[in-house]
Amino acid sequence: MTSFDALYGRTSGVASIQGPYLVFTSHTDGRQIKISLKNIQVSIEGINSHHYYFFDKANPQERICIQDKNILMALSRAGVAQIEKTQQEANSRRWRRLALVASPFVVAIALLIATPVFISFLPASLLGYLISPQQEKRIGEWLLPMVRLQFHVQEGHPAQAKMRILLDHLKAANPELQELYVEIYISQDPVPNAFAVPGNKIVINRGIFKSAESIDEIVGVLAHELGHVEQRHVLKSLSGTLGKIVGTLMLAALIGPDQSVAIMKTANFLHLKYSRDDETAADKRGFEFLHQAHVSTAGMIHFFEKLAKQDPSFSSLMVFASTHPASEDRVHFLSQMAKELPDLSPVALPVELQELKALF
Amino acid sequence: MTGFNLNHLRAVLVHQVHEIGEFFGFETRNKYQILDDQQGLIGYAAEQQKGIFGFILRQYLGHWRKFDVYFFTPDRTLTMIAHHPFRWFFQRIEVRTAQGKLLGALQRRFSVLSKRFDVENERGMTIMEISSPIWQLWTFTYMHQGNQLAQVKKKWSGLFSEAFTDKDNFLVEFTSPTMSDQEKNVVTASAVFIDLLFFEKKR
Repeated sequence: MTSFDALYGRTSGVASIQGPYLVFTSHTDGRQIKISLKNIQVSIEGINSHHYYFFDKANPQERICIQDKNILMALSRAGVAQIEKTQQEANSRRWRRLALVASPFVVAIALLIATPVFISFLPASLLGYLISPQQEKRIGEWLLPMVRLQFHVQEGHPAQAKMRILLDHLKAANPELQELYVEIYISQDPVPNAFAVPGNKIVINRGIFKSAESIDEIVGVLAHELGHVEQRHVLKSLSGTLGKIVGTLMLAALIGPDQSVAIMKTANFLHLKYSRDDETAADKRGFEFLHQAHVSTAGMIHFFEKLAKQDPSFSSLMVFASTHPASEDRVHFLSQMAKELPDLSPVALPVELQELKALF
Repeated sequence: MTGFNLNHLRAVLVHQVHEIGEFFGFETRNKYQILDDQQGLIGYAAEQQKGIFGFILRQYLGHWRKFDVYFFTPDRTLTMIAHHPFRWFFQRIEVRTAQGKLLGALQRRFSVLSKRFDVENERGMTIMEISSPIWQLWTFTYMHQGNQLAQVKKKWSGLFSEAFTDKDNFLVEFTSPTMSDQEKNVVTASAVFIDLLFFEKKR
């Protein structure tokens, strides 16, 4: 016969199933309380844990409290029918409590992981509110030594001054650019490329100058990068990268590095779409800057035509996995813009192509 | 059973005796007077400081350490011991007579926003439950089957003291006349423990 510690009121005793009764025997005075198993009712109460109160439905004031959940099993074996329902209710309460207790932690973990990923998808306009231009400038200055080192930036290259003149020419015609303080650096990298760094810094590779066939091409590249700077795409890209790194680290701590990298790579595909959209937006703004400044947009288009010829096998699938739209698509987009915004009567640029090429 | 004779009392005041070290940021060992509702002395309670090592542990570990609180009658006779075993979480205090007989215990329960405890009898059965919600920082109500049996309330002892020390007064009310002497002693000991757990902090 299994007995259980029990309470009658706050008097301790022992309860056991004896024949057709649940019997409580007090430790203090040996007094017994009997509840018929035919009429037994169960109530689950307790603020901090489950306490089972047993009483006769004809006499609900006399209640025996048993805190050991094994009493339910014992009563079930003794053939008490309604115990199964009580067990279900107890399980249900237990799960609800667990869910209630676990939910703040689940939410906290989800937020911890989701927040950096969410930050990585924030639009540049919102990031612009959160991070001031001065803060962005400080970030740029912090990154500059690394950029100099990685991209072999040459300090004080004479081409910088020439590019500055071209920049001023664009700024003079575009009020939106006049407030921007932009610094231009020249990299020794032979690949025809240019990029923007936080803090309104533009790096142009030597390869651009080597491959350019007209000064309009170089100004077109500069205008495109100014599009990124003006719309603060670089900030967005930086927060996106940081968000992905932090998110990956958080996930790795929870589910392991391989799984976390797989998840973040999937999320990265979404990010690539944003990156391609930013490139298109920069193409558009760059085109508009050129148009306003009476610079021929043909140079910009020609530059992308050359890129497209360099890689004719660039398929639509590769576009999906690329940070940039396909060059052909860019050419098509810019050509459409050229139809909508035909060049204004061109003005002579203050710097000639040969002047720049001579410096390399 | 020993412990204090609280049979006829409906309330006791637990009054912390502050030491000069508290003004300078040192946690000296906690000492209390236990007074009846006429401010008559019932006894004392004092945390046992075990030498310089105990002093150091108090400064740096707070309640994350093993300690005992001894309860004395006015003539300094040991009558009750409350033992706090080491716990990372879910603090516990076991109240015993001077002879070592278990009277009851207070067991912290898991909760996120409120403070929850179970008061256990000598057999480990929960005879009272405490749930102090976040908006009632200074009140702990002891409940049994939906009925209030006792309440521990912090009583402010004056603005100056509260600003600079953690000198506290606690009012322990035995709301239900059905409470036994043993239960009252356990509740009184638990009030001291609650003070050590929650209010032993500088502002």
